[in-house]
Amino acid sequence: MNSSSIYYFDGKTSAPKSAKFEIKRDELWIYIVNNDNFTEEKDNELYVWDIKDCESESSNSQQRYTVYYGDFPKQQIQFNGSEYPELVALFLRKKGRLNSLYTKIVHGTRGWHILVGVIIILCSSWLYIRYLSPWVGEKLSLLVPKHLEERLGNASVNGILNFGPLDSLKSNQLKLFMDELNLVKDYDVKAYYVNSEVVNALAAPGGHIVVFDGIMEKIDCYDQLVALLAHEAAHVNNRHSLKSIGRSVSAYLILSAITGDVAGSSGVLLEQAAQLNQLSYARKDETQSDEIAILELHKLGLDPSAMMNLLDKLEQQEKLDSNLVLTSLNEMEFLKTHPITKNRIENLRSKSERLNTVAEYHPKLDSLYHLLKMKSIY
Amino acid sequence: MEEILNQNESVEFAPNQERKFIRFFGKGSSFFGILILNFILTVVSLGLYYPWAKAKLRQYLWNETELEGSRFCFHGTGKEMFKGFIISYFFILLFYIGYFASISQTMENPIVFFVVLIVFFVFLVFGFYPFAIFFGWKYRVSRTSWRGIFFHFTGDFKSFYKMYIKYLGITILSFGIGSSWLSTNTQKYLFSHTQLGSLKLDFHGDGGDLFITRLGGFFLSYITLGFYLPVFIKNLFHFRINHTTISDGKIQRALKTELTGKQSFNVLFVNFLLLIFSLGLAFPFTQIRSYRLLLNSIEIPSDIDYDHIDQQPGAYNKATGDEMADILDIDLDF
Repeated sequence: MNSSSIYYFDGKTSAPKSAKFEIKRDELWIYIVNNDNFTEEKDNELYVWDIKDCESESSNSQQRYTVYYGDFPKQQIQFNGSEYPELVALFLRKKGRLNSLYTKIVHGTRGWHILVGVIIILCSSWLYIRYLSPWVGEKLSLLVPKHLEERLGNASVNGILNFGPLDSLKSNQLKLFMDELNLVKDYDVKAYYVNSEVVNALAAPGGHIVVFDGIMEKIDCYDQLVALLAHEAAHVNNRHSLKSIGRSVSAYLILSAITGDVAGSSGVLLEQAAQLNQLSYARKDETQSDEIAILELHKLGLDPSAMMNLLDKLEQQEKLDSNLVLTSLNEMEFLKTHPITKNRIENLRSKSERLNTVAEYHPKLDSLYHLLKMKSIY
Repeated sequence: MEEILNQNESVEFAPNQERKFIRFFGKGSSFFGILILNFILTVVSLGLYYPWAKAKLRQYLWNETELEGSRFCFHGTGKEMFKGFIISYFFILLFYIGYFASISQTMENPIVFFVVLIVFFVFLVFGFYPFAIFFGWKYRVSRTSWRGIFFHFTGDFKSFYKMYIKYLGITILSFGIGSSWLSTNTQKYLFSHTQLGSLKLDFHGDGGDLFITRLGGFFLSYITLGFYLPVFIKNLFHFRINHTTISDGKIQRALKTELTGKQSFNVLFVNFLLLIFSLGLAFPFTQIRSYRLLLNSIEIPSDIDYDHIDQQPGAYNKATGDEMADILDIDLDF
């Protein structure tokens, strides 16, 4: 076969037949020529194709252009597109806008096309990871029924209890303290007091609130404990931990739903990016809880600055804990779950000043607090 | 890039060439463009465009593959594959529902999780895989043509399933050792029931050979920290291709690949670097490099008459419903 000729295949055998063509209005007339001695004699084998029923397929640099006609058997002609531009133009015109765009890409792409493509991919991946996937994840997590959330919470609390032994007496006292505040809506509060030096407190899905002995040591007034619990209660009420789980799985979930495919290196990259993103979302949740906590303090008639006092204590602890190198790492706000304590305090101070709270003394909370502060008898 | 240009220059077909090769002309840049356009349209349509994207991708790859001066053509359409897509969507949904429903149970009671996992696994291996392999192959084959002659698949699911279950059982009982026989016999079944018009395909590989190739490959790749991997891939490719035969009714000849370990290493190593330094964005280019390496290495028997292959009646049947099975892109390893 000669690459500059047109070849016709009748769909019955694979034998190529040299051909010539003529475009007559809406029809393509294909004459079979033997030995390239083409004369317009009437006894030439002739095939007439209705152009609107033809399908065409083009290759790189138009080297090979193939046109199909009919259902079965399918006839076809093949030729070098660059030698028959009038035929190529004819079939390109027939294609819809989208299909001709594909054909143009097949014919050849330029450097800047690829550059635009790369930019589009990077931008859309960023939008996807930064906004779309967390949003979908949060919405999905809200669909999780409450009993499931409580079970999930139970499981995570079981994990947390590895940090140290549960103090059941103090857990009950903590529960009484929390009942007095009535901070958690919609959930039965389950309070856990864990004997561990960890300076932290946390909220698990479904109304579980865990306070470590380490942070209790730092607190020196009942209103700070209220601030701490109000902060954790805000996590519970806003289902922060569930949302966080939702956000972390949604990137995969959407991708696999769209493509039916979860494998590949893109998955790993996506995970890394989502992880980084997760942190900044977690900071948003913390800030929200801080702000809710000072509002709760205000509502209870307690001084909102208790929140700042608590944070001050945590900041001092941070300084104690860290040597010079660690401090500079701590300053990298983006890589931390909690916003830098200093920033947190400043943010809250300006908010709490606007509240103009008239603080009252709560004797019951104070006595419950003192019970909690008493050393355990073991 | 240079490599691509050289290939296009030599596109002219030499009529009296003794040795004949399959030729692949795909270009990384075009492939990249198609993937980008597919990606944009899939995202904008919230995933619904995916089957059409798949059709475009296959049309491109098929149409850049040449045998005896003529290109292959994929006639499948997005519309056909949409049905399969909806089904796969449903399965993925089912999987996630099952996963989330069992996640809370799992933490309290691991046995529940294992039961769910086993049920899912059994369904996948005994039902879904053979179904998808058989009908997926049937669909792809029946939508592929060359010079207007259609490929066609004459297998029936019952006999395929019998074979599959037998070797799957052996695989499970032998803790995976039998998988080489499962894979070889699957290929044997599919190829021996596939023809391009009057040209018949067949496969004569033996599971034992594959087992030894795999065993040696795993072992050597492991102790050479992966440096043997290109040679291993080459050996696997040799096994798949060199045992494949075509026959025109009179003579039966084997395909042959000339792929060397060095070529395989060069392409894989550069692909690896490209992927690392482009953060994965060079994927279309690496893909095309691999296709080019593999397809261009396949030599086809020169004494078979490719100009007189006859179309088989009933080879092309639009209304089979096989398109439903062309889901999840189960690509066989051959």
